[in-house]
Amino acid sequence: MKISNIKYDLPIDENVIISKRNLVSGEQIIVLKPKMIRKTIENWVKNNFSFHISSLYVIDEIDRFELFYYVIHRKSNLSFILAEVLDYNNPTTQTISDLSGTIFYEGEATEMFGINFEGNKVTEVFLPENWNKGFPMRKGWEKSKKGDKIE
Amino acid sequence: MIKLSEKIQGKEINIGPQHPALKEPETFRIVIESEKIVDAIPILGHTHRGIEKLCESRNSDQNLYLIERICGICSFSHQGNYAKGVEEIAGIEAPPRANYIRVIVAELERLHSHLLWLGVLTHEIGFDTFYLLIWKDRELIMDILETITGNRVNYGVNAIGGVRNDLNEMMIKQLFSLLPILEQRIQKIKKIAVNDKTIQARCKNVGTISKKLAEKTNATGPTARSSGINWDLRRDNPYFVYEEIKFKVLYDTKGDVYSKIILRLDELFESISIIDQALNNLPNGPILSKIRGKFNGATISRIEAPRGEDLHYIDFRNDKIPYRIKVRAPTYANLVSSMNVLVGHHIADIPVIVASCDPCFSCTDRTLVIDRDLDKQYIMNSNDLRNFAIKVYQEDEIL
Amino acid sequence: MVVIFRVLIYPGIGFILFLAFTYDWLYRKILAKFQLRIGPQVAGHKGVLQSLADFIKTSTKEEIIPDKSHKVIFEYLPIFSPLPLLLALFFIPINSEYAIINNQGDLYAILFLISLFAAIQITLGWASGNNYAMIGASRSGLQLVSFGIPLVFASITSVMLAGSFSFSDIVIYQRDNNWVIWGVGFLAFCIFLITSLAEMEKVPFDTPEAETEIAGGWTVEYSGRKYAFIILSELLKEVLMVGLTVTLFLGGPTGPTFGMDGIVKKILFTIYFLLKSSAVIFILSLLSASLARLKVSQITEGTWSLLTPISIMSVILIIII
Repeated sequence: MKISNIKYDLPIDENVIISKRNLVSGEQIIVLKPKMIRKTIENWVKNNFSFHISSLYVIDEIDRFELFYYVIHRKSNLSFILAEVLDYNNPTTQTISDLSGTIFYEGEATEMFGINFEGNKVTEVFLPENWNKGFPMRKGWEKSKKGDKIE
Repeated sequence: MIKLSEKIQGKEINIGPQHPALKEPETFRIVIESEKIVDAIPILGHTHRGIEKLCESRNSDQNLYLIERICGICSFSHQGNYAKGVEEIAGIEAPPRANYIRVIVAELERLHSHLLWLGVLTHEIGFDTFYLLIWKDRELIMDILETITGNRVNYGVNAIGGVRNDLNEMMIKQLFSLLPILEQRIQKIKKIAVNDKTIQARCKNVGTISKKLAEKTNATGPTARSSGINWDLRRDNPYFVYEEIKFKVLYDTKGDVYSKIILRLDELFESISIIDQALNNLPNGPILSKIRGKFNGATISRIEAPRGEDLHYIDFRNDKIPYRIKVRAPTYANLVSSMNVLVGHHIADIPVIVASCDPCFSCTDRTLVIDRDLDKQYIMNSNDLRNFAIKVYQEDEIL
Repeated sequence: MVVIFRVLIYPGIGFILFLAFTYDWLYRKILAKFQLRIGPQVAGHKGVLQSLADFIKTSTKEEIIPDKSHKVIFEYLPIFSPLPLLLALFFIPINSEYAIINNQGDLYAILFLISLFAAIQITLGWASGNNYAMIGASRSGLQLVSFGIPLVFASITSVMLAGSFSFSDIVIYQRDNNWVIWGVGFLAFCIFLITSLAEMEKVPFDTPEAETEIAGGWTVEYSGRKYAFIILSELLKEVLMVGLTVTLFLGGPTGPTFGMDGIVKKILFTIYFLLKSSAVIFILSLLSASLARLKVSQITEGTWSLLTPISIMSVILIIII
């Protein structure tokens, strides 16, 4: 049973969708207009659309960031991806950690890529305290070389 | 590190980074009032190895063995998941015999992982006799895994396009003779777990995760299934050859730690039946369709690891080296729900609740490379070290 | 001379220390058998010297004094912690009907010394200034309060049957009549066993030390020589509780003497004492191996609503009979 074969009306406003594309594994990536993800998910919570956000991941595309939410709707066995394109110099979006348990996922994206989630206080998950060497998962970041002095 | 609340009232104790209750380094800052928990803050990140970043500088075959080392217990799940994803991108399918072998190893891994978890849990509640009894039976599975793959952990059984080790007649015979023994042993363990009053006193109505909370906090695997979410990737998004095998997806509605014990033990019987069916239907043929070269495409690969849904995002852009790999281990998803139910319980419940989601912190912490940048004068090559050791030895002798 | 020999060597301090280390080895070995392990096996024949080796090794380790601790108490109290228990053990008859110290108020003295040790535990936990230790100390106090009444009522049974608070009288009564355990005293014996598990801080009542919860409880900050003394006091407590059980319920060291007298009788009595206490240790380790640790709230609930009423009832039963 391939996921893409299932027809199901997604409760997403057609007006906010910019584009759609498919992954190799069949999941649809639905790119939304900036800052529309929170509104969409607020709608789901209001309409009792039971969803499961399996993961949140970010890809550094050199000139922009792409933020992906992997969503599963268990009742209809449907999975799809909500995406948002973020500006490279000022990557900002709204948090959904109060609506779903994504608090650590967002914190990780903040410390690894420098993406600012408005309203989420968690900004450090994995890195040591007082980390000041930039955002390590960005493409340009290089690990420190031998011989660098420790403060 | 996470700081949720700025000012904390009351006494504060740290569970971790080193604590007898935790088998891996992790910190839980617990605020207490006499014996009651008021607030609980997890501090992650003590076992960072930077595997995601490292993956971006290694080719697809090397990553196979790097990703396996995310976790020692569910190493097959991570490696199999990655191999499955790359096969999807390359557009090839592993031969049927390889997929059957994968199912057998995956289920053996589930068996030993669940038994390990139950052992740890009973150790947390101070029932060491039961814990040693369980781990003795777990050794049977470890031994058979060693026979099949050559290793007790980090089996290295997968390759892109199939598996590395074939099963021979002797191994199949051993597996067939082991299964009834295992079933009998697990039956005995379940009998103790069901009848023992002290286990019930410590685990019933403790750490109850409601269905609503499990849905809201994105719990997966046995943690979600014990709260009434009927979801198992082996049935709902079949991979390998699970669609050809008959098994039941078990779930419970209570959501407390005790229901998790019973649920996991019941899952073991299903696993044994799956192995039995896979061995009976094992087709002949090749085990590896080798593929090399550059890949192009992105995929999300998910499999049902012992602890829950394991998700890998794999992105190749016409290269041998992946552009981005993202690993979402099951503990990462289940930790939030466990943290949410801690408040209001007693100190004695902390290890039970933390252990109840089968935490694997090494899976959770994996992202960054922290290169301890040393001062130049402290860097030693092997020769220097050897000379240094000899010098120390000589001085010691003089003294 | 004889008095000094009795106090210092046999059946005094030397023999008591020998008992402490041997009983601990026996307890560990039996527990290991129940748990499909081997147990200590390196030091001495089948590891019989393991507890002594642990004691010596621990006392040579580095000592760390935390900043938050109360320095004077932290430094000196651990050394005195075995003393009340050592003193209490002088009241236990080991090689004859009469112990080193015997008078009319033996049981009072023992109960007082047990409470004194619990007070030392609480002070030690408080003095280390650690949150784990404080939780452990408060749990220790809670257990003292919870198990105090069952302990007293269980031991009163023998006193009522023998008509005396003196251990010598109790032992002589049991020598001439039946052991207390055979008959009405059996209930009291069971209660006393449960209580001594709690006093010894073994599973299921090891909440003050609960390794997987509070990482060692009140002992968590002590290291080196101080910890060695704490270990010693715990071992002595084991001997004390086992010795009390034997004295109160199993007829003390008495047994058939085959008409012997003098030294041979004393040796025979010592062997009987060892055999009886081994049986008690076997039961205790069996209980400890087959149960999980209970929560503090469950323990207090259980003692006040179950153990205390039963112990009172057993006393009433004896009064009626």
